[in-house]
Amino acid sequence: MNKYIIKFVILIIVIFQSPLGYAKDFIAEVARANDLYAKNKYQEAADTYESIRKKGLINGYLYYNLGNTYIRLGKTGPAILNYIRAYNFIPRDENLQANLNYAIQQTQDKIPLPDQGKILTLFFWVNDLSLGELIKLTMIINLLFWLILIAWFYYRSNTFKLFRNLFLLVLFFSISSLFIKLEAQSNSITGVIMTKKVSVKSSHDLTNKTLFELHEGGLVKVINKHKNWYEIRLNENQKGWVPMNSLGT
Amino acid sequence: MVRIRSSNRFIFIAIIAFIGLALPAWGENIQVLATVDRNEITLEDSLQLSIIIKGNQNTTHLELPSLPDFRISPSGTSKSTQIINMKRSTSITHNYRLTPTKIGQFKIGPTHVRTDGKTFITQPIIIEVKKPTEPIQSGSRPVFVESTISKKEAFVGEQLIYSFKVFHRVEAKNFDLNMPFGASYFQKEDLGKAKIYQSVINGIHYDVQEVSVALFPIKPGNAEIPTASLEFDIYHRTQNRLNQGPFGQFFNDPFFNQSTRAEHKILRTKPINIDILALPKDGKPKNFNNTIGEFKMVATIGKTELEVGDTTTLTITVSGRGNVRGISLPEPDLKNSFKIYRDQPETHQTVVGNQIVGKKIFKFALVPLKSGLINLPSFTLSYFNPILKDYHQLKTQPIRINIKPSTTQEKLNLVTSNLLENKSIKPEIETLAEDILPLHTQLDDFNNIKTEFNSTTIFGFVSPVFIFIISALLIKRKNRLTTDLAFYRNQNAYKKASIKLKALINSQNKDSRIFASELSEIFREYIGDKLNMEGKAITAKEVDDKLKGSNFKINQSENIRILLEQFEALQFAPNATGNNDELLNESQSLIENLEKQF
Repeated sequence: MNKYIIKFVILIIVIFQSPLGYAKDFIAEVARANDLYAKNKYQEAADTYESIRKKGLINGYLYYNLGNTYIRLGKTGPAILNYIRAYNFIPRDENLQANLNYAIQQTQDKIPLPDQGKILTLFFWVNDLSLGELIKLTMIINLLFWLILIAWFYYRSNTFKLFRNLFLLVLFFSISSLFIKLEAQSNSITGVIMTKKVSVKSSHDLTNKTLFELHEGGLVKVINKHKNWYEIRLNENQKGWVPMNSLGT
Repeated sequence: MVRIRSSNRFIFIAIIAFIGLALPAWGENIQVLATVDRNEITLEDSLQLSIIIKGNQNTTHLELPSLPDFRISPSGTSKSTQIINMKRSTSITHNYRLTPTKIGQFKIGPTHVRTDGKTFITQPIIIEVKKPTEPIQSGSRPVFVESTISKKEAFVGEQLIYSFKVFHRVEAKNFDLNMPFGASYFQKEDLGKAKIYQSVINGIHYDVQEVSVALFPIKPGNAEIPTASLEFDIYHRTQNRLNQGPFGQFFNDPFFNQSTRAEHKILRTKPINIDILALPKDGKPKNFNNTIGEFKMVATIGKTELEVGDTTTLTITVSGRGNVRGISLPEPDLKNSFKIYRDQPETHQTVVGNQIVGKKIFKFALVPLKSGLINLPSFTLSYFNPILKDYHQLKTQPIRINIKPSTTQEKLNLVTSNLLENKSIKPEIETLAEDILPLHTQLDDFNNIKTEFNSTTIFGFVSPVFIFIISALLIKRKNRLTTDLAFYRNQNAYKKASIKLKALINSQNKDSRIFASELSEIFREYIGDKLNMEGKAITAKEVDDKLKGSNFKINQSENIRILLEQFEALQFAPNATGNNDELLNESQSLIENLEKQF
């Protein structure tokens, strides 16, 4: 019996240990990029951050620093795109929100972030939590629920019954929040205009009529994709197609 | 026959009685009567008119006759139900208090009552209202009223004090005063709450309540202040005849619930005539503005030395006896030297010795427009003194102000009215520039969060379910061990047999007969525990029958039977001998094999 317990513990350690220490290799490069930024070598700093990103480091603060670097380079489109990427990982970071607002104010169109929809208004906390945080939270609630279920199964008391029902409800909300977050991140894509100016066409062809124009840093909702074109929506009345290379997602 | 218990019988009777009372009096004739408690009253009394409807307690409509010479006030409704000689009668009485306003003979006309779908008319009643008997002297009456006016002759605008007093030497309550003042000739000013004091008239002690108002005549002529009336209840103490014994005086004390009788009274004062005189035309100043009384006027300035653009307050206070509320002053003519902001005047009035005494304060905020020595002109106020019957003029002392040039370069805003309030406005902090917030430099935060859903996540979600399943099975097993004896024996059989076998090995007894007996007992007990049978007396056949009923392997069943027969042979055959170790090994081996199968 003891052998099984030891094997079980080792398995847990191996599984949980894997993501830890993964980013250790990137720290030196991040420090170097930060240093370049501090020395006003913004282009080199941006290149370093981009190389770290391409090597596989996915981190909210990396995107945030990259956004800052692009702001310094006067590239509002890439800056806003990276801030929005950072927002998925560090949604409660005040500096990020301030810098994103600042970057939007630097654009010509000054389009605010698209509305997230009614369901996210109801599940308001989802916006303030990253996907990783929601997963961890749901895991903890899941563990607590099953432990309370075991306790209730053993003791059969009304107190544990109450806690069982309570945690079942919390678990339901937690899992619902998780699915809403996944749905929002995979289907409700925010796009950023990356070129100085882009003509929004009535269909996915350059010969089509230009409906309206957008400028660098303009924020849109991506609603469809066709070959090298994105269908975008600006608001309830304005939508159209833009070439894929003019939009960052 | 049904017997009703005594308690049930009581309830039954009560229900019948209740239903009997609640139901209308079938067949009873409806009668409507109008009665009064007395036919002759004085102007100071009131009478009670009762409309009695017999035979029905539901009045749908009641219309009293027109009584212009009486004041009518409802004084309640009462219902009555009587059962006399098993004959039930009901009635409802509507009561009204009639207070006469004139002397003479009056007829209370028929009252129309509509009930039970029919209209009934009462008989008319004759009432005689007499003049109240004049007392020889005030002291002979328990309650009397009087009204007074401070002057019977007054000028227009002169202050008059009109007072109403009630004197009572018996207990009187529920006062209702109607005190008209002749609104066409006078303007009224209240002088506060009623004064309560005591007075002795002709050696008799009275409680007095006095209400006073100040009246200001508004036009000349012969004015009449109409009759004031006071309605109240007098409480007469009635002596209990039973208490007229030796201790009667003691028990007549209110402490012992002496009863009282209320009598409603109305007392009226006589009307008062006043001769109102017009103000004399001779000597009337041009700036006279109907200010009548006796006044003083003082002017003060906040600062006598100030700078251009600075501010100071000029205060004019008019105080004295008379209606100060009506006093008005013109704005001082200082437009070339000052910007003037006029405040709302403040009026403070008090009553001193039944006279309105007060003061009115006029305030002007002055902002100098130019520097230099400036003399503020005197303010004048003309008023008529009704005592001296003459016009008078008040004049304030001239005030000199030294105005210096402004030391600040700030331009004077002559248009803004709330100049003084602007001091409290806080300056807004100007944003000079905007910039992004700094880089994130905490290197520990740069963890890779590439895979949100990885093996750890899946394990984290799934493992609690497995933990629960394992725990549930263990809990279930534990519970079964405590409730299911067969299961408990089955689960503990091997452990128990192992312990006993170990003890047998360690024992010094090597006699094969006894050894076989003990080993047989361990083995049988094991089999008994496993099959939930009485193990010690178990036979090879019984075990065989039991095992055949299950999915047990036949060769093991055969082995058990052989071993049990071997035990029996060693125990009971006279010349039987055996090898203990061999037997022990055989038994152990068989138990281990059986344990795998059970």
